[in-house]
Amino acid sequence: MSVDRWPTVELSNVRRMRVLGEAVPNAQMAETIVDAPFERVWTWFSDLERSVPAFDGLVRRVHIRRRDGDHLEITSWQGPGASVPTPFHVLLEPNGWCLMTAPARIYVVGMCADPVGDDQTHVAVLEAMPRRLGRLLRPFVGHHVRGDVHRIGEVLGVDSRPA
Amino acid sequence: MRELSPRLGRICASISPQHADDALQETLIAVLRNVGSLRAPAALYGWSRRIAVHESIRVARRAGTAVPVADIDTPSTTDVESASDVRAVLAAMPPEQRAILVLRDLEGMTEEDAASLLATPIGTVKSRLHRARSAFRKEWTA
Repeated sequence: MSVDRWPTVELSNVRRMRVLGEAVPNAQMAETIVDAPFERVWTWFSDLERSVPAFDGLVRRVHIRRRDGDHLEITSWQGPGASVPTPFHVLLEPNGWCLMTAPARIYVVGMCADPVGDDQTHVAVLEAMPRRLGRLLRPFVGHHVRGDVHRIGEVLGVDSRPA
Repeated sequence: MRELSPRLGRICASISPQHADDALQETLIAVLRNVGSLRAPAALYGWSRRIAVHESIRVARRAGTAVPVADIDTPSTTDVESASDVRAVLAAMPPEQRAILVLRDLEGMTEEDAASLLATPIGTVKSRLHRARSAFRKEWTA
């Protein structure tokens, strides 16, 4: 029988992020439903130099060094305390998927969104420090990610609620 | 993950049609968690397929939504090709029967290899395949 006649399934962006949340060591993830349409939310997210410092409580500044289609090279300055520049390779896709990876995978950040009807958006944020230190910092990272997700609705000026 | 997903998605949706999302998600989690233990990269798909089949059966059993197909004595000479509605027929089968059909007719495995993957006696595989194909034939001729 033709392969096309068999049923199939594709994972939503949030479900794909849940896969990483379960599989990447020390990953912490939080989700929210935002009362804004997907196009508005993802257009805002995609402007990384403005969106990330606005919702990520530890990031002071983001600079895009190079852009090649969906692939970006960025530097992020983050605290607390002395601001430490960290380079990231970024995969930023218009369908609602963004994955940022620091060299040697010492730090991984994921953001994604799926439309919920015409007026709402399901957003997920993931952060992980897969190396050994990440296990010690996991509670802190979890608290940080939940705070970031809560801030997204505030920054966009719309209501949001835990997913 | 993206390269494997389309093929594994067909397996999960065929064996666990009502909870395909959950089955594929659990499959990919297991694949990513354990891929480091895979010694031969060339075996990635076969290894992932085995995980997809077992996760899909587990998810479908947990949901307990299958409607068992009654034993059908009609000798099977009809290929799955003749089914008018693949989804409807699959949904009416127990997950183990769907798995046999998927491995034989979607994945092109031999009955012996399918039996090995499922850790099931070859005779059981043959009888389940017979029932599954008969169910397709019944759907077509109804």
